[in-house]
Amino acid sequence: MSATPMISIIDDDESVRVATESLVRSLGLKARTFASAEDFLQSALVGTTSCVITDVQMPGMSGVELQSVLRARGDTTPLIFITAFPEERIRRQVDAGGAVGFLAKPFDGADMIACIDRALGEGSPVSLNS
Amino acid sequence: MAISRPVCLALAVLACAAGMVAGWRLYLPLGLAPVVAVLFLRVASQWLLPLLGVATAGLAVSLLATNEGEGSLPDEGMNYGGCFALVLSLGGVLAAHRMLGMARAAPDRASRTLTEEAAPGEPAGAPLLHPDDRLASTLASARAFWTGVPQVMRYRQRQPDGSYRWFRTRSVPSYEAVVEISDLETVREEPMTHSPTFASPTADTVQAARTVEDLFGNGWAFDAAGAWIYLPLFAQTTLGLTPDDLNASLRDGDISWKLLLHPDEYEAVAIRWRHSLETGAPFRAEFRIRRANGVYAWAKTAAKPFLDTEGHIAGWFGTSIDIDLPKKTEAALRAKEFQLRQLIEAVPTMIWSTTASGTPTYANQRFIDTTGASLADITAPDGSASLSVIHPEDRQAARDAFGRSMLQGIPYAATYRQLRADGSYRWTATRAEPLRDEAGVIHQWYGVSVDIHERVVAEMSLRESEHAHRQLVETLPALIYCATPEGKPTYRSEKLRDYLGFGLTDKDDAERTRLENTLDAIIHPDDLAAVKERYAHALSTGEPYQMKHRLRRFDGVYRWVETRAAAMRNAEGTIVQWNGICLEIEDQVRAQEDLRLAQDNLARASQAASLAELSASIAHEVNQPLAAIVANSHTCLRWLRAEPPNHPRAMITAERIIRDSNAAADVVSRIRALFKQSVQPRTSTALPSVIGEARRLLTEEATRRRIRLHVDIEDGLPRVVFDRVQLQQVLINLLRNAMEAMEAAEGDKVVGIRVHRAEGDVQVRVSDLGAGVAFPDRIFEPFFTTKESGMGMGLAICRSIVESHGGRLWIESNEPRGAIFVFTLPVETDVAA
Repeated sequence: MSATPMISIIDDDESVRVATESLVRSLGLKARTFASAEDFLQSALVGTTSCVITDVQMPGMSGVELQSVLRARGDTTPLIFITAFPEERIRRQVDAGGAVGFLAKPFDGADMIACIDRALGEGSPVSLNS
Repeated sequence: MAISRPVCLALAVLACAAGMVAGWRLYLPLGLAPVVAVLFLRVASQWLLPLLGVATAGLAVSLLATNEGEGSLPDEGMNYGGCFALVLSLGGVLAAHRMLGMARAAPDRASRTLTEEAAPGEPAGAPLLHPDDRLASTLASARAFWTGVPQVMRYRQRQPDGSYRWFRTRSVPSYEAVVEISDLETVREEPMTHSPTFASPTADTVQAARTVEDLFGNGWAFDAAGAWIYLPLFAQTTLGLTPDDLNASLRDGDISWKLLLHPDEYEAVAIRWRHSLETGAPFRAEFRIRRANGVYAWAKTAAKPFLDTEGHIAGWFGTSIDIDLPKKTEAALRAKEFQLRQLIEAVPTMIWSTTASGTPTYANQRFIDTTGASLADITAPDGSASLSVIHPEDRQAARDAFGRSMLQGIPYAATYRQLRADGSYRWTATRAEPLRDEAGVIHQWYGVSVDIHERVVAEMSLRESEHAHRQLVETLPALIYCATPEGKPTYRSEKLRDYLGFGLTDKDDAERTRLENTLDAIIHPDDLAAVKERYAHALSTGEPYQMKHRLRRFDGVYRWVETRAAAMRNAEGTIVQWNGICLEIEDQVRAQEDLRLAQDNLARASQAASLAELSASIAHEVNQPLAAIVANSHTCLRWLRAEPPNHPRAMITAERIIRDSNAAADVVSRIRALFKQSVQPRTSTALPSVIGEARRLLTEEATRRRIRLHVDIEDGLPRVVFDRVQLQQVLINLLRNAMEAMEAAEGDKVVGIRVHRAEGDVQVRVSDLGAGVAFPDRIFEPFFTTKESGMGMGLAICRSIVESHGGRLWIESNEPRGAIFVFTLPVETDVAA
């Protein structure tokens, strides 16, 4: 079976989306990108993806709302939040929802890898490779 | 020849004794009878004398007859002796009595002469009298003596040269009187030729006329029909008319006076004269008589009828007295008095006088007519002035004043309501002055009273109107004041006086003006300079004054008021007074302040909100490419660190880094463009107008912060080129900074704006009296702020704006405290050059 986890990346800004995808791929993981939370929810990856990296502020559904939707469905996919407005209030909110990470843009590559490691669990090849 | 009374008596006694001796014993009683008669005459009327003489003679004759009848006949010698004694004694009696009468006359030469001539007992004793006149003269004297009627005698008297001249005397037989000599001189002047006129008087009338003429100098006579029969020669000469001339008028049916009379008076005189002629009533008249020279002279004429024995009018005699001078004098005096009276009555004043002690002595007709009070009415029973014409309420004051004047001799002046004839009272002004003699003693008080009712009433109504206006001013719910054109306070309403707690002049001193003292005392120290400046401006230009400031109340509390004053001008436009009103606006100011504060907070809040949004937006815009760049950098590193390094991937990632960095730069450019909203072209606008705008925009805020903005702009500034909006941002920024710097400052809060030329620039200096700047070097750095609520961008932006205009912005220290922000703008150079 394919042991390579699939990482879903949601950001309305293309440059951030592409850069994050590159970073994830450089870790040897698979990645799919979405321009909005709605796009991700309509995709087949919901429920199968290993981790979701999502922006907080986006047109339409925000990252926080996405978390609520997934948790409401019983989906426990780990979520990593990235935001240009790192507010404490939002951090507390997403932590309460079980977020794996809450990173302010521009985020450090190592911090992102650490979050992905945590999301994929111990023994992750990512952490081994790093 | 003076013959004393004893001599007369002696002569009489001697005559009697001679009679007795002659009559011997038989005729003794007969001889005593004349003695008794003479003694009796001393007390009896002279009229009895002739009767007694006759009675005595009768007694003697009867005695003789008795003796013959009894038979005891005396001899012939005896009878003759008796008769002789009788005659002798009679002669003695007459002589004695006559001499008694004459002896009382004045020892005058003429009278002596006359007495000599007239004495009947001296037949050869009148050598001076003309022989033809001796008898008449003697008779006249005797007639005067015996009848008691005054007798005028004319006679010719021999002169030393042997010629004769006419004389005239009048004898008045009175035991106490004298013989008067009248008009001798005039008579002496009369020539001899006229003597026949008088020599033989033909009628008693003429005689009477002459008598009157002798008495009064001008006698004349008419016959019963009114024709002249006698007119003195002197009168004929004076009149230039003879009786015949005058009588000619009778032929025309006129009275014989006609030619003498003034035509104006003829009719009246004629009526009276005819009346007298008909009725015998005495004629009395005053009229003018024409003299020969054509001049009329006043004469007083009287005539009485002369009755004959049967009681018929035999003629008229009369006299005229010249009264021309008294008449004319009297007429002149009367005219003068009339004129004076006319004057006194004509002057439109009431005139009166009193004695020195105040007793009314005169009131002119106008006084009487006007007041309806006569002199008696204004005199009290005790002789003082009753002052009854003065209104009872004013009377005592007038009495006191007049009493004081009389006591001290000072002029009297009083104004009171005076009675009018119709019972009303009218305001009257009275003045009186004393008339003093040379010694300074007051004799009279002369007073005038003038009706000044209209004026007083007008003044009263004016006062009432003034009072009403004053009431209006006093009751208006505002503080009101007036000042001279120079600003000196002249009036404060009661409310204002009460508010301030002191009167108009309470703060006056010799050092400074009332205006200054007042302002210093009542204006809040922080507002004082502004008020003075504004006030001085208004006074110098005449523009209305308006100012909101704090006013010190009587209890020391300062309250906000709004003062407005405007100039009141006369017809020529000259300022005559400043009228001001002061309204308390404490509550209003407080409310406004609260409102402004709320607005300010709101504005700050919204500003903060928009800034937060903006900063979020900026952060988002910038962070996105940054996030991409960082992520790509990590990726790139990873591809390069991989074994073997994955160069193609690293290169792709590095290209992405370049692309994202450019995107980030674009974001910044877009943000800059976003902030640079001003699209107006730079114009060369007059700097003062921009400063004026900035000042206006901040006036309300300055007032709320109790800060005064002092603008001082040099005249004739050169033009500078600037962006109006940007420059205004700079100004407002600097001004607001300055005001905020003084937030906690004590004392005078002034923000000064000074604009002046400095070399090739125009320099704008914004000064404050705050605490000064702690970090002058860092203050223009972006994000450097000493304020809790500031972004620290203001001064940085200001500096960049100023510099973008080619100017500089720096800070200096203000003296004694505070800071000055200075910026320059280059002067516009000649564009054409």
